[in-house]
Amino acid sequence: MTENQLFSILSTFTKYCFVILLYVFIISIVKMIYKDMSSILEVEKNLPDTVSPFLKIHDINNDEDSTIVDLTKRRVLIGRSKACDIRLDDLLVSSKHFLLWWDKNEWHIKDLNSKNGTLLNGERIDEPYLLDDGDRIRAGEFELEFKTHLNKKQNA
Amino acid sequence: MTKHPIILFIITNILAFGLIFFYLQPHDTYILIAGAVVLSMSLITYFCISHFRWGDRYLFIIASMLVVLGVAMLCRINYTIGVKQIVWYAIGIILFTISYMLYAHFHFWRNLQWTYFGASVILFILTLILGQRRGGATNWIIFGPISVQPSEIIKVLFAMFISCGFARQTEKRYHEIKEKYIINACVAIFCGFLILQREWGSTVVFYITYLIMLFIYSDGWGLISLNAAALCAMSALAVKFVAHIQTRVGNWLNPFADPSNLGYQTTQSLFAIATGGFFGTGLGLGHPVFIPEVHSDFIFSAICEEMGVLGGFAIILLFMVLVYRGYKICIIAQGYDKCVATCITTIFGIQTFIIIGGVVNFIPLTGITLPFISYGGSSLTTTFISLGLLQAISRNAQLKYYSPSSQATDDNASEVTP
Repeated sequence: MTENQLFSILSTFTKYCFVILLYVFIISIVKMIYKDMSSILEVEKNLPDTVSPFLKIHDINNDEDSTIVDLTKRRVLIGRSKACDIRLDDLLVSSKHFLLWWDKNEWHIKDLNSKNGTLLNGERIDEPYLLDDGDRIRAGEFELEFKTHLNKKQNA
Repeated sequence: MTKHPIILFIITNILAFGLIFFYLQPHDTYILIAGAVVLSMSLITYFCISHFRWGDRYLFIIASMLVVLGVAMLCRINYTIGVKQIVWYAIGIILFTISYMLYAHFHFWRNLQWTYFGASVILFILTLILGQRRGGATNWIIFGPISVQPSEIIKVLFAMFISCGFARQTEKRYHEIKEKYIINACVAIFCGFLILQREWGSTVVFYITYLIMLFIYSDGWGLISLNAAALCAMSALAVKFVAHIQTRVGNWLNPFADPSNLGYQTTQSLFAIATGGFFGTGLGLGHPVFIPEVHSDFIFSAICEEMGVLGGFAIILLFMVLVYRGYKICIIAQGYDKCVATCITTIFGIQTFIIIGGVVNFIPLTGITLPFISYGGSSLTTTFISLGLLQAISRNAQLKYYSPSSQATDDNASEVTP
């Protein structure tokens, strides 16, 4: 058998190998993608009916303006520092003022030992509370109204 | 076994380099050493990515798979070119790591908008003055042994530049209207320079990327429809008045009108793909060298001939998975990172579509490189740089997405965990 024949046998063998390898490679990655996607779907299933509630942020010194921020994460940190998810730029707001998180189909609020405290519907909170639609949170010179998405159209 | 795509990657490497070793007459052990070196380099990088949590684990390995297939094909077509490509691959891996490090650890990139623009304009002007003509386009700068294609570098700068504009638009609630038009004018300048260099393919890539970014980021239809109309008008004018494009379109509509002269490249490419059949002739057993420019633009038809249409499909699927991973990163990334990731992924996708479409005569042919596979130092290294950026963005995004307060500096970060 000459070297050329040997090579063509080798080459023919590898060409099938290549095709099989490539497709197994792709399938393994697509499997990963599938797992990925189903994990995303599961997270969505666990979210409450009001998928994306929102905060209406209102600066007390400025009557005109109010901004709406959607709560898309399960933990939302609010404060003055850059690390926060929602930044409130006011000297009376602590660098990490309070935390909102979603657990067991409810949104919770907790003050993070802030200097000037967090008021929920006018009362200072020392321990975690459940949030209801329309609750008003006060931090420094800001008032934040918690809304579930269902009522967005009526309010906005 | 399917749980570890890296094992498949190693087997592919061994097969590819082994086959090249047997293909070459006389046998050259250098190629085996080179193969072992690049394989270990990519394995080290993969290990770093998965062990130190450098973000997405699949981007790099998919890209490496594509490069290895390209290298095998190039060594078979022309051994010198193949060896050069292996060197470029090694440099590309190093640049990938460097660009990852730089982007992940510094945060000033978004403030350099006009630096990117200035650098691109300088590169464009340099190309116009010093440019050498190669294959229809005046887009090469040659310093002694090294030749650089500045438009490849500009591709990265362009992505960074337009991302600055789009990122600023999303962050301001009432964004300035003027900003949009300034960016649009700058994109027009980019395209103008590219047209001056006769780089039609890159022009289309840049412009369509910009259109897609507009589609994703702008809230009205005004600017998009204006730009789309401009694109249509420009292409109509080009088809009518530019002789070069006229022949391209003529070839596209009927490549067999003049198969020995004008349509030679396209028809040879189609013949090559047809010869391959489903499983191909086998590496080294076909005749892809008949196609002009087979090592750069037409590498896809060579792959189709020797690895079969199934191999070609696999390449397209690999690109699809790569782009999917890219867009997945875009979804979880924030702000400027999101824009850059979208832009880079879109460029990969569009470039692949245009060249593969051109090679199989699905759309008119324009000469651009197939990312990661085609021969070309500038092309390969800059694609790896963009991949490094994407990798860094995926790391930043995962850090933010999975732990919102992980960047907190105070000590009560652990305390607040509900």
